[in-house]
Amino acid sequence: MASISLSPLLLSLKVASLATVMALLLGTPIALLLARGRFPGRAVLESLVVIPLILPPTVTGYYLLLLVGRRAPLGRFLEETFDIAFIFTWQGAVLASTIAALPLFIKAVQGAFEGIDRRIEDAGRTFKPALIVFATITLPLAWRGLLAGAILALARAMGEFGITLMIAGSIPGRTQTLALAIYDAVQANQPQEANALAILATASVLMILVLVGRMTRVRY
Amino acid sequence: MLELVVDRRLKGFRLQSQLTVGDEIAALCGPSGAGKSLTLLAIAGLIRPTSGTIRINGRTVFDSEARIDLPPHRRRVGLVFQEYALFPHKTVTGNLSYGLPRGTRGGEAAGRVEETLHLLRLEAVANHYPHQLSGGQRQRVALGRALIVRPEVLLLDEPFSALDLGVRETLRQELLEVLADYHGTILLVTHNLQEAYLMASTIAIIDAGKILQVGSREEVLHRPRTRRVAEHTAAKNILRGVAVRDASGGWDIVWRGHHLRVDGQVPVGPGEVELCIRPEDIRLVWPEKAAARANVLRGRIVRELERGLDYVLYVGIGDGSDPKKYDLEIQVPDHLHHLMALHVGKEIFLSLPPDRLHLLAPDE
Repeated sequence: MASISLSPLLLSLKVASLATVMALLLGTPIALLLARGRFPGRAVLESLVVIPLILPPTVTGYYLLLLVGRRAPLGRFLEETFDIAFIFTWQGAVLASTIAALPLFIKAVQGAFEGIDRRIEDAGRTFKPALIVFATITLPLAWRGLLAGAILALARAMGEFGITLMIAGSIPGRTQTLALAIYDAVQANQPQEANALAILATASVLMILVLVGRMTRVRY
Repeated sequence: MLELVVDRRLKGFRLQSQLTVGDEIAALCGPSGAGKSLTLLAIAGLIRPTSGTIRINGRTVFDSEARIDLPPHRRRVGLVFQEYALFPHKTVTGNLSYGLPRGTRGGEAAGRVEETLHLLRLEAVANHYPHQLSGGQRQRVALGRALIVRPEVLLLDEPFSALDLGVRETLRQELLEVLADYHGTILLVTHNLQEAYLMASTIAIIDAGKILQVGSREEVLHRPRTRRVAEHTAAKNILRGVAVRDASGGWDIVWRGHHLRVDGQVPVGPGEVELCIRPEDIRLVWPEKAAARANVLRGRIVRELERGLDYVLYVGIGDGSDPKKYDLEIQVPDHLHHLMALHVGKEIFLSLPPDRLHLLAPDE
């Protein structure tokens, strides 16, 4: 039996966790804006946010290609200024997973923010600046929603396939994540490898879920 | 001392509050949707008025013209929310100490918390979370959380509405005892006039975003300025009469054919006037003593309402008998009802004391 490489699993974990962090950083302010903000264009933003959930992943991937491809203005700008390229790179896989995970994260966290009684935050604001109230009142109260959002994001990122394939491709050792590796193994008629990868994927996801479950016992 | 002039325009509602409160307990009293809570939020800095000024002890915390708008935490205003809005993820101690400035030394902070726990008798529940507390305890935590930072103005939004009726009386007394040691301005919001009267020395009546009258509690209760205030303070009897000169050059009000005397007030001129008298201010008099009293009218009870401890009698002046048409509503205690053997259809004599009969100014 050919020993299977762990690199797809490691890459998947790296990409998925980075994507989760990105979703957290980008998604939290957007969720807050959607939960609390009253501004023109709110409905448009709300729809934009869920688009990646509804569009076929290949279409989302195609849009991303148009946006950050080597010849696209934004893509070129990012490459020249920050030396980040997304096409056929693992960074591209992170971008793909982030976009895929964002809607789920935002929806979960928006719900959590909306569930907080405004007056509790107002009470905090009579004592402390708004930013400190956010950190000491809002975030701790939304903690469960944030965690649920992060789990959803991680799960979605681990399973990301279509968008990643469109922009990062499936280069073994570089951009081939677990989900892509299984597809390749099946295509190449290597059931043993496919089985092993599938078990690996299932086991790692289960482990994450158990860990998260332990961390979320609520005190109050 | 709190001085405010605020104007806030919303869709279909405009708040125009103008109020000055010294170091006392004042109550802002009005029906729901009158703009009471909105006024508190504006003082605390949690909503921004469209225009106006708010000053606390001479310090300007909001001035739309000068573009001053201090954030809530820098106004030195304590706010006790209607449902208390305690931090659910913090213990009683955590809730109390939240507002202490970052610079407060560990020892001093602990001392202040200790002191507040003691003042509000919360020592036993210091490590409990809000959901483990009774309504009264929650109220005390909310009060302690606001008081611990020694605010210059304390705002109380319907402090008893979240409590069971049975405990309100006791808790009102407790609250007054705690507040007796607080030297600053207290503004209480309530829809209950009696609560306002029991708690506050000054009462402001607010409706539809406008403060209609500010005055001592007696003044607001017995001498409402206009018909609208009278309606809000449940003066009930609003009489439409005609002012005429009497023989000695004073004024009489003619109502239902009777000449009524009014103490201490002069109508603007002859012609139609409105006056009011509270149901509990009207006296029942024995027929044989009627001649000795002022403003005595003869009437007939057309309907009565037994309320357990007292009766409300609806009286038609003259020989009224139609239960739907009555001229005065009066309130008599149970024992008097028995003593005078009152019943529907009985003829009675009423006196409207001239010092309780009150002329209303026209609504603007």
